[in-house]
Amino acid sequence: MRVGADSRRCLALCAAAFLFLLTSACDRDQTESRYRFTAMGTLVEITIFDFPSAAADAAAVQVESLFLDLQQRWDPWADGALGQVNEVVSSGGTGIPDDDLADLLSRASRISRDSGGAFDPAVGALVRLWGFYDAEAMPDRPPSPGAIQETLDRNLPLTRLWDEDARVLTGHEGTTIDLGAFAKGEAVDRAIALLEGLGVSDAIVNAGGDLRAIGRHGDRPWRIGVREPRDAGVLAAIEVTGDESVFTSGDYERYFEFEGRRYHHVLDPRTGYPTLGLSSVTVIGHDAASTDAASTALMVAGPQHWPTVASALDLRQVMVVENDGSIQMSRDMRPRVKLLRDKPPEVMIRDIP
Amino acid sequence: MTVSAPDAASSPDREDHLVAGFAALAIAIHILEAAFPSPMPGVKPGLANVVTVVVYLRYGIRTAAWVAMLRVLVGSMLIGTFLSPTFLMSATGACASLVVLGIVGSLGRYLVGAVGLSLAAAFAHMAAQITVAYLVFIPHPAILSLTPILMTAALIFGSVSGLIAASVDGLLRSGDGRGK
Amino acid sequence: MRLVRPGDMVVFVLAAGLVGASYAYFWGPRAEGDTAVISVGHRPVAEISLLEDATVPVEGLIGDSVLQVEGGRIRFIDSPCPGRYCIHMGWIDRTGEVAACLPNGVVVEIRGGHREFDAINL
Repeated sequence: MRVGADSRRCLALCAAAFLFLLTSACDRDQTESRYRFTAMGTLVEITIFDFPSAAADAAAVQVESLFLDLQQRWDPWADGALGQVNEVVSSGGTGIPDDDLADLLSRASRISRDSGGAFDPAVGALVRLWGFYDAEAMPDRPPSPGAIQETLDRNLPLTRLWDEDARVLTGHEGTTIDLGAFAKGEAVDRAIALLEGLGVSDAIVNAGGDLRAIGRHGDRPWRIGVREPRDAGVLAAIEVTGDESVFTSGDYERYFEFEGRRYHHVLDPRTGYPTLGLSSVTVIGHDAASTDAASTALMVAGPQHWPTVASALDLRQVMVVENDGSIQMSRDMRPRVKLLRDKPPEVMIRDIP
Repeated sequence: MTVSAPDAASSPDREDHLVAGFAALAIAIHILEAAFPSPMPGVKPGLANVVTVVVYLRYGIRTAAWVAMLRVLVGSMLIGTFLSPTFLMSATGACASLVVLGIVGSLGRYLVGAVGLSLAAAFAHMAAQITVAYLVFIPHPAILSLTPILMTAALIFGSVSGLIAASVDGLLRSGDGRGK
Repeated sequence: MRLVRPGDMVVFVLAAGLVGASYAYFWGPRAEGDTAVISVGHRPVAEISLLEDATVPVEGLIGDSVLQVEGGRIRFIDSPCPGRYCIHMGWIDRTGEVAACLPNGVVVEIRGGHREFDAINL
């Protein structure tokens, strides 16, 4: 039996090496912390990479209180900064917002002007009429065409109400400013600033479809999935490094059906009805707030005219999905997107002028 | 080895005695193993395979097949699992490992010894059992996800019983030598 | 007589390779998770397997949400919320995917697979 000693040792060595490989393969834990909370009518997820986990959790909790504070301040109907201004303005008085809100209104007003009114936060009354003002309200039927027309007639766009130099909102009967997703985007931007201030350099703040990422995931970029608008599942993968926002606006989550038609929550300020033609718009941009407003504007612009509006808003990377599932992309977007459908769809490339 | 006693048809010959003796040994091990609680279903040391391998090394595939089949049949009758799912799994496992034993064994006795044979047999046994369990009894992905654990068990127990079989075979050989 | 012969080593290495491959194949990275963690608020209340089809009621803040597990996927089929966004969300099955009924405080997250995306743009 002694003759077999070499072989036996060999055998034992192999077994040990094998077991070692097995255990080391399982031990690939990365320092990634994730925190989730509900704010501004959506689920917000904070992902922080490579940061002491206790400190990461503490940072995420600070982000949560930031979001809850901004939610209160910018809710069009609550008793916060915007709510108070709305109350004065809608009854005809002159609204004087605080500095913070005034800056926000200036930026929103500029985007509204650049988009030719496709994005307009002064649609609060319209949003309320449709019943989409509460994150969880569910209208069971569309308002009557008469009521919609009446609301449109009474409404003035933000660009005419907001005086950027005097920093005052002209009073106008029945007008309500609803910053909508723009406010959510701004909250994401402030959350990122807060995290950076705390020394976090690799993180994602994802508020529903409203996402901004900084840094990277260790030795690879952040990987973002874009949801398929009609079927369940993921339509595309986008890799992000450095500091970028990815925003997807769609008709598929907040909607109701009435007499066989689908009515979703992205309203066209010009017609008073939900936008037509596009199921989702994905935009890659720098800061979340303007990316956010821009994607709403592109939903309004529709399958034909979105490149013009994108150009006016200085967007270079856009993907849109039409109601029939077909896909259009800007030239600069194409290399960023990896489509994940089983049968690779044809992509129409559009030039942004 | 060939058996050609003149009255082979009527009275038990040397090989019959051998088969019976080894099968009895294998059955004893089989039952002993069944009595011990198993950490998870399907994982058993399979020490009864030591007997099959030793018999195969000494007397060839025909005898080994007899011993294995007797063990499965009589063993299951004694434990009370005859014609039950356990029996079907154990029978297919035994068949598969015999086939593989024959194939690997034909590669050359000095190349592949008891350890290699035992390992190959253990894997064939396990693979057959998983297949039967999945196809016939529980067609659920959870069964397949047990595969890595079962294969690891086959690797460990196959090696151990192979080493035991090699030692037993060696002892028997030196016994033969002294007997001459 | 040597206990272990050269061919034995070959068989052992092949067998070990097979075992390794079986781990990679059956337990390796896959995008589909096999468990769903259900939380109400910040508190995890249940962990259910996606391998068995089932209908699971979950007591939330304002009532019972009902989850359906089928073919490794999970979705909301009923919830006491007015908006029904959770039901519109549809099936989820990729590790890290989340479906939620915010008014009822019920959040479902897929776990157990290999996380393909760091975040999902809804």
